[in-house]
Amino acid sequence: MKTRILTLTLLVAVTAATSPLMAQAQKKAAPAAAAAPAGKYVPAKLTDGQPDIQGHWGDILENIASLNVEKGPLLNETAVKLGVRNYPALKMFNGFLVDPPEGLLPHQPWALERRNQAMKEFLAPSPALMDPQTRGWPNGMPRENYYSSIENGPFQILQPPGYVVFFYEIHHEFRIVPLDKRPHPGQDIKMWEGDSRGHWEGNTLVIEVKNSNDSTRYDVMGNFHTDQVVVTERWTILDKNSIDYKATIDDPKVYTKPWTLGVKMVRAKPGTEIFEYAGVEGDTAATELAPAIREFNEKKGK
Amino acid sequence: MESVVRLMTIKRAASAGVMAAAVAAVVFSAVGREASGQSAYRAPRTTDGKPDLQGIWRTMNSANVNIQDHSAGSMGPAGHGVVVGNELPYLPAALAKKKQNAAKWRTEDPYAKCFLPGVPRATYIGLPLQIVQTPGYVGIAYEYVHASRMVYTNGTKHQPDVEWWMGDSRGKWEGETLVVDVTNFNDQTWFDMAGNHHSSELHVVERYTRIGPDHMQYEATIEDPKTFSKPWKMSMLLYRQKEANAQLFDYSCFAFDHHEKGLSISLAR
Repeated sequence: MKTRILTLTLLVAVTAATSPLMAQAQKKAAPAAAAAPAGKYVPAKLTDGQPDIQGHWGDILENIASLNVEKGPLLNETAVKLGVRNYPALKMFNGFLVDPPEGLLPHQPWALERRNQAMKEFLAPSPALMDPQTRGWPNGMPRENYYSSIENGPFQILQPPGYVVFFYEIHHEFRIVPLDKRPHPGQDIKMWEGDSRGHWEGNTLVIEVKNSNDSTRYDVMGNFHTDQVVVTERWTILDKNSIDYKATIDDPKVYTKPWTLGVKMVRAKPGTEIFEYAGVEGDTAATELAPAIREFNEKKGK
Repeated sequence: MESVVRLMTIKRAASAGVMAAAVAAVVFSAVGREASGQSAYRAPRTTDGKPDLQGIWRTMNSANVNIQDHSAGSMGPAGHGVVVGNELPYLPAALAKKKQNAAKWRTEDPYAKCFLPGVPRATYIGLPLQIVQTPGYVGIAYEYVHASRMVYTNGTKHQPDVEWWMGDSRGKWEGETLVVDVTNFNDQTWFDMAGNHHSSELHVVERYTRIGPDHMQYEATIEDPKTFSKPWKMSMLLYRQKEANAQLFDYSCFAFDHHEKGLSISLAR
């Protein structure tokens, strides 16, 4: 079990880091995260009055935000020292936080300690500190959005009257977001992707996510939340092919104040379709990467 | 540990099945008329003039236990089969494999491992599904492991070289009916706990036809020349979930054990 998780963590890091867009990440991160007021673009309207954002979308950054949302090293120092994976160009980067502007998360002291532990152990974590993504489990909100990318797993937005519906390639997840102001279910109901309720404010789709479980996190680094978290997403249409995405995380148990991350979503090329992502089912990665795991464990003296 | 998880999953599934069967018994007489008649019901239309199949639907049968007639047992409650004519035209080797599967259902059924259930099993697995429609697309979201499918009704062709748990779905409208052609399956899913199975040559044609405001006829024709000597068909009803607060939740059985042991990062000590 442990072996497989380690493997998949490596796989995630390798996949993201070898992406051709990786080199551009630094450059693109800043403008994407910068404030993006609704421009002059006038989107087409659907019969129920919604601005039309249907189609296939993804994060242009190839899910780098999913490695670390805040400013800092991309991989933990232990891993770098061991020489398991070392990406000099990405030892530090600016992260994706819009607020606080200094780019660091406002952790409660106990939460910072927990996060650091997860970061330190990320190549050989305890079951509780494992990244669910490494097991093919759902990423939760908002990570499912910025883990999606136009090249390696887009999501499709459909807008039947009264709803915005997201079908994600990643984890074959979906969200069916009603726009009729119906209340969230009772707070004893917890779900991997939470429960989403939305409304439009001009050209901005605002979604409030509650009922999240306490098992997902924001990145490989281990930044996390409790099941009391409230996520407020703002999807602001910039033009036909781009959306400014911001998610504000409010979880007083873990953070001293709410914080906001931002990425730019772009439209995938015409003809894009969602493929099947069978993460829970596919455990062949463990076999394929067994030599790397053995090497790591040997170096660790196990 | 894993066998415990599987047993718990099976127990849950069995109790859900019992409930569904009880509800079905009550409802059956009321809908019998509507279901049996080839009613000329005309469904409301979507904005692009297609029959509106949207909503939350579920079956009330025990086909997930066994798609053929079956008694109650440790797999779940008794039930009428959903196979038209009840007989399955297995080729000899495939019948032998079915028997082997049946003997190992507790551990080997992909359902016991919380894997993607395939088509048509996702329809009758015992949890609700939600259909959403826009021009060119019919999306089907399943509560069970949050499986999902996109049915393309935009005239596009099947993917050429993929093999998927849920297959590749291309649909078209024939009057009141959504006809979905599903190909590109792997050979990993089963039709039920009883071990009924298929090869990667599986070809499924589904037919979704509303027969009333709250009922939909569902048919699936199964063709698989490596497993069966001829095509055969399943037929069953889907019922609309009518509660004002009805919504899909999630059933991520692969992680139940994780949660029940409190293994979450925010709780870790």
